Amino acid sequence: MSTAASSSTSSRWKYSFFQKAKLWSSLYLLVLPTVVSTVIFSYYPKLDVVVKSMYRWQPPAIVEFIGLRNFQDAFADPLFWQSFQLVFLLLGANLIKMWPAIFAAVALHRMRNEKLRYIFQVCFVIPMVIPGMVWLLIWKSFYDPDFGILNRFLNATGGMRFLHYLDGTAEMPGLMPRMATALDPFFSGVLNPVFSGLGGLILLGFLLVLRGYRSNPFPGKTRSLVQLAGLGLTLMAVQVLGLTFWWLLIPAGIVLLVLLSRSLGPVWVLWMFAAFAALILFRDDLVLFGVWLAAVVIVTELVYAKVDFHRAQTIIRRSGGALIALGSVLLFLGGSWTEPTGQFIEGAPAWLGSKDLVIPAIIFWGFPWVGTTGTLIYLAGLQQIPEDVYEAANLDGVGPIGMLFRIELPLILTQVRINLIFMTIGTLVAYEMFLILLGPGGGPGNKGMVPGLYMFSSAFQHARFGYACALGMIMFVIILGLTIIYNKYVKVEK
Amino acid sequence: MKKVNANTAGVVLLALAFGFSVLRYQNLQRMLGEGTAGVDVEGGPKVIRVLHWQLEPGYREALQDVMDEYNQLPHVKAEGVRVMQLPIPERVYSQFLNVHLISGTAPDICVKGMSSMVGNSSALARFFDPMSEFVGEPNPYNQGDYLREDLSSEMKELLSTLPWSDTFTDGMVAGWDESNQDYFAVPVSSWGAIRVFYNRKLVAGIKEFMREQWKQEPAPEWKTEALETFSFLEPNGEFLSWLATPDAPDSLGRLLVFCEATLAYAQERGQEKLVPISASNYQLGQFAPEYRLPFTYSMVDAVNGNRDGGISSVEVFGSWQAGKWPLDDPGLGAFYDITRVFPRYFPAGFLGLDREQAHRRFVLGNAVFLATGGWDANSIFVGAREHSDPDVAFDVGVMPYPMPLPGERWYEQYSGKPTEAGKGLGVPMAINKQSQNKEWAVDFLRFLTSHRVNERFNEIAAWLPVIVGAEPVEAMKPFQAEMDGLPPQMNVNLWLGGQLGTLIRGQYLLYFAGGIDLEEFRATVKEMIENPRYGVDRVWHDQRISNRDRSRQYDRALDVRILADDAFGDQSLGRVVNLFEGSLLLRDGKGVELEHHRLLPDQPFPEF
Repeated sequence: MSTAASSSTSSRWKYSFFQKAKLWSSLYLLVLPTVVSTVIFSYYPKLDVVVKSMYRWQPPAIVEFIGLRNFQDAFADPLFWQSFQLVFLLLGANLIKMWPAIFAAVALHRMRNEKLRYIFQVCFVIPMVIPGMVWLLIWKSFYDPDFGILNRFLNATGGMRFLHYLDGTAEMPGLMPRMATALDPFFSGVLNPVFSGLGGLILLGFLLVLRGYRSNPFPGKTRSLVQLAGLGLTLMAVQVLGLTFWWLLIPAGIVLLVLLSRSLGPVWVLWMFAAFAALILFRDDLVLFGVWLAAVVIVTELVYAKVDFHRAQTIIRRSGGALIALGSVLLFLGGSWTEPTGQFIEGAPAWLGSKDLVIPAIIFWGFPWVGTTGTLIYLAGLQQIPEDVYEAANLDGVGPIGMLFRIELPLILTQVRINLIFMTIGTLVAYEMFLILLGPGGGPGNKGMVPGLYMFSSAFQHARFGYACALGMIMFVIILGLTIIYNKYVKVEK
Repeated sequence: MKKVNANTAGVVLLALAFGFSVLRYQNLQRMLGEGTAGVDVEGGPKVIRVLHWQLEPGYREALQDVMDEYNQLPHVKAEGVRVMQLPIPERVYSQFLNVHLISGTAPDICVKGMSSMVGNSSALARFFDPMSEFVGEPNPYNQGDYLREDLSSEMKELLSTLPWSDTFTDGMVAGWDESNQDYFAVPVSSWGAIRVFYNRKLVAGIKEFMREQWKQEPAPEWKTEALETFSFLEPNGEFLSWLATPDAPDSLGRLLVFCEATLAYAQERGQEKLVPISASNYQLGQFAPEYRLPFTYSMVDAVNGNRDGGISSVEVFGSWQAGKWPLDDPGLGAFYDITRVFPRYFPAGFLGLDREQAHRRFVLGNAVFLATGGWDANSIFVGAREHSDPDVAFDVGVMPYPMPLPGERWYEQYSGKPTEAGKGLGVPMAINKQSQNKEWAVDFLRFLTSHRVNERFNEIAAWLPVIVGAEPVEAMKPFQAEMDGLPPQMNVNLWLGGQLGTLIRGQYLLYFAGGIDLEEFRATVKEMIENPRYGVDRVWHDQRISNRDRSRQYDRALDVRILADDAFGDQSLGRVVNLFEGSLLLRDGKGVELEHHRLLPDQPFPEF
């Protein structure tokens, strides 16, 4: 009896197993083509980049293992790091350029006439079918010194005279260079020796903001202090040991970051970027950064000790924000337009041909910056906001602007995050426009060099494919870091 | 009326779109000779694709004309062979060629060049077929009825009996690869030398203006600027005789004085858009190199330490490191001075303009001069002559780059003009190793480079023919090379390859565009050369690696050559000797170490 029962259980089990296996195998077989093609065409090339970054690789014949030498070269490569200065500037500008698309999506969303809204939505999609190259050439023609729309518009509206008033000539500098000259003694006498320049001042503001985001009111008294001091010491050690032995510090850095992540919470990711910025901004004087880091930690600990935790947080964050604002204002007034370009006097500035105007021209590129994809993504997010949320807000007396900042924007942060990630990746890897406008060297003084262009030039101009892979790996780490930040900090509060 | 089911309609639409895609795909494959519908099919069409980047007006039409004639030849038609062209814009040519070579889908015939990968000798041999087995035989299309009837009997005899390579004006040297010791390409056209185009109407008008103002007292501002501020020349009898004629400037000093006058002429007439020289970032690569060799040739003895007939980056920077020449060398200084003077006469923001914008400015009569090669000649001649407004239309003159005469500024540092021998013999067409129809690809190249066809092809394209005895069109004659002059290999160039070259070139552009002065430029360059990470030490290191790679390439080629069936033929033996010699000279990179020791005996060879 029991034998028959066990035999029946066994056959049921077998039947069930085969039935399931049949189902699973057919499901897995259906998924297989996608998985295989993804592995082959998406993952394999990327893994190959990791491998090839450790080779001197000049296809098709030369493949020589050289360990971490490509990375060593990259860290000591001034042009590569210079390219990040421009790309971070563009990243900052692109953060501002994201707003028009948000406003446009909100405006579309609030349109009451459905048909009209549909027509506008279609109008937003039409530019998508224009090839990128055509778009580029159209904008290039806008900037033409003699025949371009921009100069004609500025001349017709008096904008050119205003720009000339700001700029002036070598003999008679305009408002901006004069202001820069007036601020110069302050910069050279106070800012540079104390903060290692304007960037250092802004970085210190950023450090204060980071210290203001401590989540735990009662941390171990010494642990986070020791870890932060360790960060400062590591950076100082980089300078003392010299860049040749930087790789010795990798294990120490990893351990430190893990410890920091445990004591600082999610904000540790931002500390990583602060350290990265310090390496660039305090490059020649990392000891000074160590001193400032210690000062920031001591001052903030004192504030936390003396004042209520939440008030202390606010005070520290606002102080940091004030430093960042001060640094930005000083940068605009005294650090960005230091000498007359002499381009506006004849009413035909060469936007893309002048080393002084090419960066502003690239930032202005695509005005009014209402990208199709971005707007449609925001619109999709806005359309998901339930009607009762609007009704509740109306009952509470929230006005149209309040609605934007208190209801709509917080509820579409997921979409903002997607666009932020796309924008960041796009900005960091972009090179086509720079290549076409400025050539593979990034133009005069390599001023228009961005990391993507440098990677392209290393591979296709200098045939250093392995080195280009190493540059790509570094960029990958930076993009990954920024994506983690967005995922942690840009999200809808549940 | 029965209601249409939306799902059914959607499925039908999808099926139709899929069917259309399949048909279109098949059709394209057949047309391009790719895949299962293409050349691999037994008895299917044999499509020979020719990849090139010559998009200038006339070139594609000329190539198409030749292809049409070839496709109609009885034996070609009988075999179902069809030749078609694949023109690709210059800017993306390199990427296109690289990707298709690596993926094995490159066309049968590709214009070699543009690609740094193909520039690498080992890659060249890997992707393209050597041509030596064909070039020794006479070209079958230089026989009998294929030749022009009015050719002399001697010429007919010569063309029909000479080996194919000897029917080229340069003996097919433009297709020869030194490292592989073989022919890898067939040049089909020549653009000749780079020349300065000028607007005859404007030159005459401005010369008239100059004559009117020359004797004025006080002297006009442009004259003071040209003669006193810049000291371009001392006006002598010869200069005054030239001034009396409507001729274009024929020396560097005269050109620059003329340019100063042009600025004044434009200002006086309110012609705001008129500039002396139309330029763009494209012309940048032409102005500077033309003046480099004539002024830096005096440095050759100091730089060319190994006397190997060429100057490498390691020789330039290494000799500087050893104190053989200073950064403020008078010749180098003259070169930098000259290249800095020119932008004064270029349109504002020329670095942001492109080639087409520079051409447009010139053909619209908004510039007196434009420097470019023979490849642009046809479009410029036609554009200028056939302008719809007769007041704007003008005749174009062509002249060589003017050099300084005695009594002119920089004459003391001037060593002479470089030779133009072999310059511009180009559009080297190479046969893809993976081509399924190599014999037909060779056959088409023979046809294209036969005397009659090459002459007509270049006549339509308005380029220079490359076959002995073929006559160029009248308008292209000024582009024919001037043979006398200094060897172009002796160029002292600070921009040579690598990271240091990129950085110096960036600074040079900054200097060229007026961002920094010569002293700042020199100081920055010195700092860059001395940088321990990417400076001269790195150049030494990279050169050793490069020589080691080349040396091994020679050794590989040598092995292949020895193993070849015809290894002991006369011609092949010569190549074996050449390869062996090349390998010995490079000595697996040891030669660079010896050179370093010779120049800097007390310093160890830099290691990274």
